[in-house]
Amino acid sequence: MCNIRMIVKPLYSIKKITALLGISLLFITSSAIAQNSTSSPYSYYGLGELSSNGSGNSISMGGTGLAYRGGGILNIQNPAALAHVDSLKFIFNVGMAAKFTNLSQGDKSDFFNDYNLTRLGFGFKVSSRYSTAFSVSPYSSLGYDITKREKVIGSDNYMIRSLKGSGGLNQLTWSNGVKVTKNLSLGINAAYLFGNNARDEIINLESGSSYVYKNNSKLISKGIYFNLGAQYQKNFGKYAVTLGAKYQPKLGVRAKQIVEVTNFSSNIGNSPYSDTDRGSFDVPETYGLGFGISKGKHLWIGGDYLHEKWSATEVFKKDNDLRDRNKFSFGMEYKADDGYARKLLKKMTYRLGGFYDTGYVTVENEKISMMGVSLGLGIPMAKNTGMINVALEFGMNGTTENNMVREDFTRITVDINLFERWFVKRKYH
Amino acid sequence: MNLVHDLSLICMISKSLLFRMNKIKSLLFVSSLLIFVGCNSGVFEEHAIGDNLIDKDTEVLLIDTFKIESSTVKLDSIITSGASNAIVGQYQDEFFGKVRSEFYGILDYNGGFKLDFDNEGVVIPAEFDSLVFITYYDNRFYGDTLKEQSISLHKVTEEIELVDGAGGLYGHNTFDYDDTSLGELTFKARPARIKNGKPYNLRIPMDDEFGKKLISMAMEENDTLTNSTKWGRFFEGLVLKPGNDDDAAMLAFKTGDTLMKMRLYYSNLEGENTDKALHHDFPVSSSALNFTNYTSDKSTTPQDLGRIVEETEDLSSELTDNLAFVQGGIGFITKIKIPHVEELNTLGLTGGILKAELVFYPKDESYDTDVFKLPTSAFNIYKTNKNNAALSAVINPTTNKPVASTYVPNSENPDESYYSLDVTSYVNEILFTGQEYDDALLLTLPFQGLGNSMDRMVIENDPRSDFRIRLRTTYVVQK
Repeated sequence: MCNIRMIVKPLYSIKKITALLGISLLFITSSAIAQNSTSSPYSYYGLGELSSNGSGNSISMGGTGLAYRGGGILNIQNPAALAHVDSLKFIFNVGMAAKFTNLSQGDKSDFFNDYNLTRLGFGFKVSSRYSTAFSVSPYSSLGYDITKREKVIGSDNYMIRSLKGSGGLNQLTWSNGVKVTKNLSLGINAAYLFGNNARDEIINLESGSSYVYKNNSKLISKGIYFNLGAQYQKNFGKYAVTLGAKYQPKLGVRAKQIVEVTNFSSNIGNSPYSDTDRGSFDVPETYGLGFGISKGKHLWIGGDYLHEKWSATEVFKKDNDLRDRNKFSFGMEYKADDGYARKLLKKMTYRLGGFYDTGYVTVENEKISMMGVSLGLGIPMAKNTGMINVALEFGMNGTTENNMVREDFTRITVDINLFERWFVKRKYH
Repeated sequence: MNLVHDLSLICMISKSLLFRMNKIKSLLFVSSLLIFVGCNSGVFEEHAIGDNLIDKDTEVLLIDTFKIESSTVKLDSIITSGASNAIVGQYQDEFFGKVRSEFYGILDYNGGFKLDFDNEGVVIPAEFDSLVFITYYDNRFYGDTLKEQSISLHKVTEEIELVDGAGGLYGHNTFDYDDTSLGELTFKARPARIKNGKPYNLRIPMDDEFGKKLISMAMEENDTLTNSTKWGRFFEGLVLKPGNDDDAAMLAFKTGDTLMKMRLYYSNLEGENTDKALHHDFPVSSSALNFTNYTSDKSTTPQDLGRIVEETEDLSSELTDNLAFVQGGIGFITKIKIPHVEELNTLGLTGGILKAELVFYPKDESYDTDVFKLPTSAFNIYKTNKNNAALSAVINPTTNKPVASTYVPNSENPDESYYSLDVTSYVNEILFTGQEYDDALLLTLPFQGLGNSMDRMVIENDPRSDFRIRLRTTYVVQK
């Protein structure tokens, strides 16, 4: 007699997954989008401070990831890497970051903390050749809060001007990776860009009036773009060499620009001006190249070059004053685990890296660039149920020359991957 | 609040659906969400670093170069009855001319005047002593109390009654009276003087013949002295008038609490109280028909406000030496027009007013601190149109009370002290909804009590002067 015990585990899993997704989306839409992940005045420019969209592994290696792959990693930077995710594995990923920034200008300095979600997603191998993943992550962030006391022109009285930036764009990405041949895999990301960048200018008198003038300018995006990736790996004995490539065409993302001016004293006042403009803004034409060399199962070294053509982009048919961005990064990973290790220290993965990013913003003829170094750990969870990747970055953005602002930051990212076994049918004879 | 909501939601869903999942995993998942939900309050600290990096779209300016057109309005009817004091006096003013007030009052017989009776019910004969009119100062006055002035009392010969449909008696009402006075006094006013702990009173000696007549009527037991209708017909009322050439002060006298009265002194010729001075009071009743009449003769003034006849014809300041006038009692108020305020909207793409102040200065040398003082009450403003009627008070929307002026003194340069009215909401409304050509504002002392007010002020509005009427706006221009 065959006692076929069909596990209805997938069904339970689907219920769980839906629950997890439900909660996650709830939080994302209500909390994460409203929060800021930066306090830099440079986020006023362009689309804000650009996010890397990398996994915790990539972040700890300076952002390197185009030629990187792993069985339990959702590599959204290069979707072609998804094709190499372990079979039977359902990967659930959540990442959070805490950024500690010190802004300095002249002899003044100020300290800020920001916390945010870096990624929420899941992915799995659908068939032997094709894998897919869904994720939500920030695309760019806007965050600054500047308050200055100024004299009213023609008077001895003072007013207080607040400049506030908040929000950012997020992307809901559907990534797909396909193994074309033994060595070559291709991938495509389709992303829905949503969110709003808000820039407020608020004015009120220091004394004698309770009217508050507010100029609120919002860029609301609701559009789609896509990019392509490819990975090619060849073994040479102990060594494996991987080449990664990425391409994104310049695409217009549908958006709305709303400017609203209000002048209120508690609930008395009016809105003298309101304008809604519908149009689009461009995501830049991008190409990236990466290489990676691995020795055995333990060591991996690699580097990325990314070029984004921001100078050719327009926002609502008007030229951006942005320049092309070049990012160079390198990284190294050492897996101490040889499969038999018992002590935790021997089971962990160690990573380090660095990057130099020319940035895409020029302020008063100063090109604002960023550079940093990173360290990271991969901590496996018991019985291969998951992996916790911790990354620590130290970076610098901007300069103090010419009365510019320099940002010195430390960022800790915790990226958790949870593995579930799926699609297991047990048959008993 | 948000955190509690999220937390409870996490717990609820976690319990019901995640129980099958590995405990550690679910804990990990839940706590990871908690961190990102709970830690970031989204609140920044204030700082000015990076201010030079952000483009500003606005400029904040103080603009006060609006041309303000002013004129003087004379109110047709001001109710002056129903007040708790009487105003009598006259002064001469270089701007307002001869300003005069007279008081019409109705005398009550205080329950009737009866002489004493003896044991057999026969009236005890009485002898007239003196008749005097007593009034108590009510502290307020306007003008020079160091100069001599006089008050004469006259019997009113016409019934004091309301004109058809009126709500009270107006400052321009008059009633016929006897030219021959019933009493007179020339004095120097002492409105603030206290005697024996009580306010000083003025005693005006009255005509003996009239007093003797009252005594003889009482001895005859004439029912005129006991029947209110007959008494009313016998003595319609009296009017207190200042001297025709007086140039002293207008004085306020209390009329409540039977303080203003005619007192008849007499004594019994027989009986027990022959050596006692008896008296009977005839007080000015608290009738709603007691009122003050105001007149002024402007012919001596250079600005000649006497040219204004109707309320609908305001007299432009350009025709009155660039001055505008406000006077209680007589009823002058100032009308203000700011024709170009809407041009603020053209300064930029858009903008808004943070604060708007209407500032005005009393004309220098039109007032001083003892004789011609500045008004004690604050000014109010009303919206008006071509016909100069007060349509509605300009209200402060946050307190829901009418906007009132504040006096801003300058101790170093007293000439630079000014009055200020907060018209922010009013101007914001004009910028938003526009104003008609005829829309204007009336600047006045409070309407309630205007009939009992002695305040007056001359407002400077010479376009070349630093002290002209101004609208000072703090305006945000959006580029």
